Amino acid sequence: MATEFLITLFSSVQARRQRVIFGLLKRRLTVSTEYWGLRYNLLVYVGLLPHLDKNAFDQEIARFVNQGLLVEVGTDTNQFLLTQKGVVAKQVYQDKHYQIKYMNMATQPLANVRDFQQAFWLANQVVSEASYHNNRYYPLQVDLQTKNLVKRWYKQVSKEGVIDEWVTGITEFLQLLPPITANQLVATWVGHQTPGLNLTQLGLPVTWSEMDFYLWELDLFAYWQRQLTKCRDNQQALVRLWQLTQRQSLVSPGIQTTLQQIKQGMSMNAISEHRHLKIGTVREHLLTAAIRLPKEEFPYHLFLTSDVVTYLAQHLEGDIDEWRFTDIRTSDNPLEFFLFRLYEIYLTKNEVSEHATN
Amino acid sequence: MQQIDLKQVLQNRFGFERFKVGQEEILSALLAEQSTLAVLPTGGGKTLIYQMMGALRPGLVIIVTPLLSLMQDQVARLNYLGEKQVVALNSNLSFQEKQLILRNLRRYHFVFVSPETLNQEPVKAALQQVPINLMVIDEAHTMVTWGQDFRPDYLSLPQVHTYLNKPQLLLLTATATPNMVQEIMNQFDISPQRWFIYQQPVDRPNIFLHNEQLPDENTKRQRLKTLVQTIKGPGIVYFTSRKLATSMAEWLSTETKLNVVAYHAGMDAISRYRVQQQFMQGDIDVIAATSAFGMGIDKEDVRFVIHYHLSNDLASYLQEIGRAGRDGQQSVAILLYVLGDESIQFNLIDQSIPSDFAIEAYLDRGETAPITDDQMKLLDAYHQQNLTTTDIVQLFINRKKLRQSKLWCMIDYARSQEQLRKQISHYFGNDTQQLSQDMESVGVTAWQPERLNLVREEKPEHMSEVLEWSQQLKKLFNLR
Repeated sequence: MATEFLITLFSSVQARRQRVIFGLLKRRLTVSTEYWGLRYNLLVYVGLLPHLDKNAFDQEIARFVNQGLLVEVGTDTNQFLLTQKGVVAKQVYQDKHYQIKYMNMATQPLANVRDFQQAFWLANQVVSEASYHNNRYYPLQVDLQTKNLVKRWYKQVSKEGVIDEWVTGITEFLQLLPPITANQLVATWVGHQTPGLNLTQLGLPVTWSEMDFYLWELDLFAYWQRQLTKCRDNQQALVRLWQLTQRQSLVSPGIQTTLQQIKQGMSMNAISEHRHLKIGTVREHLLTAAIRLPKEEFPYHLFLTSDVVTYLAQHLEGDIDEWRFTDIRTSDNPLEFFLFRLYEIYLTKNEVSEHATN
Repeated sequence: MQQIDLKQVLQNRFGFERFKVGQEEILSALLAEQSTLAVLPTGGGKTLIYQMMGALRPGLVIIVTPLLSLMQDQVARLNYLGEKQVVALNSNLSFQEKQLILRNLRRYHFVFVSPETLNQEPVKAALQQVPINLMVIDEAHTMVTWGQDFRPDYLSLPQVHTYLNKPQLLLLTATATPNMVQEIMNQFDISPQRWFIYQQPVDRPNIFLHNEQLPDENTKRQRLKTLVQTIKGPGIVYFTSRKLATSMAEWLSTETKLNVVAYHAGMDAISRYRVQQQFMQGDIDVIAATSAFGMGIDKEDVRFVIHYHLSNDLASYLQEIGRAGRDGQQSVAILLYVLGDESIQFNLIDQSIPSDFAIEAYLDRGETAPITDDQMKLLDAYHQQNLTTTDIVQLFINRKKLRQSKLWCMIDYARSQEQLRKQISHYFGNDTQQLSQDMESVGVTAWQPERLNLVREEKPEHMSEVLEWSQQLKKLFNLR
């Protein structure tokens, strides 16, 4: 897939780590990677390119550097800034290519959007073939879990009503789209004697690459997903299929439990003992939850007490990205780093919400 | 042994009137417990053979198959033919998915598996626990081609076969020289009497062979355009690189107003599906493809296959042109060649086979710098066979020479002025006495599509506009 798109993930004012960007796209996450993903405002891209090849990625970054689009900050830091030329190249790229509209509003992991998209494709084919009473066809080859999920779903739905329900569900969504977009989206679908159309056959902008086509489809499904969350009719065939695909939550059940226990007043030490977790793991759970969840869902006040905030605010100022833990460190207690990082997360979330309200 | 009326099964269960050439002999041999190596042309009905064995005997049919994209096509094909208990085991599966399949192996009739996955301990162990009907190795020529160069797990197939208590084998290929047949057979621990070899002559009388040597790249490009414009479709044009396949598809579409679409292994599964099905359905005039296209495509009426670049060897070339004319109607295979085109293939050989220096650096000093992961695995595999560094270096030198000499046969073919059919049949050790001499030509001026009734008649249709979505829904869901 076109790696030129990677230029859009860099900034001219914030030095960004190559390793972090790769980890985000590939969904190889550590707390640190996710934290920097939050700082770069790139968490929306987590898991966007699961098959991204490390060599191809590195080569592309090297190419940007050779072309003078990116410059490494210092030596061997693996942190890069867009040059003036890079800013222009990024703008040119963005003008010619698809800009995501809906994905960044998603409150769901991208994996769910992708799973819904895959399941929809196959289910749509199954329903289409059923409407022609045909059971001899080449089924779309989706991953095994999705295949089983669609099988299960199709067993549950009422065979009499499914076609009408399906068309109703689809229509409700298509009516929300600009008509041309709706026409193009439907044209990509596979069904009875309908192989579906690819990028170059849809009348999409000629400057678009496979990457744009991928983003465009995924973005529309992210939008669909958002509409389906609002839907009240749980019995409708499409809604049921969608619900089955929502298997990943924003935070894992383990992290969820840690968060619950903290909210209920348990200490980190108590959780660690009670659940046989390393204390470091408990801290990681909390930081991950803070990064991924909306600000109001994390009990910052339990950790960032006024004393802590006063101390940190006195010692830290300016650009958060430039802050160094060693400047505020007073002992060997790892809790200090936890508080430092949590404070950074908290302020970043504030920046983002201020940005949104302005 | 109980006599089975194979024709009856064919008619009742599969709905075909008669067998394709060779199928019945191969099935009889399999039912007589012989392991079989079958050289059948593409489109010769290989799928039916193992599908029918699945119907005639209990137990699991394991099909080892080289390409992930191909595997998906094969699963879809069996689904299409009404087999539901089919699964593909490969690196696309998550850990959980793989576990689920391995725990429930007895539920399946057919398992498609890549050599890499088959060679994993848990997979082997699970397969050892279930009754195996037949072990099929599809595209078996890859055992002695890819195996030794970049897919080390192919080298382990004979050990896996032994580990699985030597189930009956069915090795399938469309292209194998007598040497290759021998080389493949020798790898398995099966006595010569227990082998049945079926080899169909490689010549396909309904595929006209035509070669053209052109002065330069630009002339070749223009010539391709003219050919695509004037020969009756549908057709396939093969390129060596994905990039070129993509850009040439665009260029040809614009220049000829025909519907020319690219296809390569770098595309995602649904995009490939759309292209394949559009092609099957007759919506596409020409596919601009890399060699990934075609294995597993079952389109009967492909009228031309044009090679814009050389294939790696005559075996690959034969395999690729074999996609033309499966319906038995007149078709053509055209090879376009510019002096020096072979440098691409020579470079590929150099890149894929590690140098002496790199081998020594890795094996003796553990330096990994110039070596890919696959090459490392391959070197490890050889190392475990107790070969010395010198042996291994020699082995790779021989490999390189062999591949270069095979490439030279391809180059000779591209440059030759006559006897195209004879060269191919001779290369595959077939009798060349009965070959037709007038079903081939060389040179731009010798090309006479009228004589073959292969002149494009239909005017290119403009691509239909994307319809309004409500109209599309009506068609999709049979609404009035």
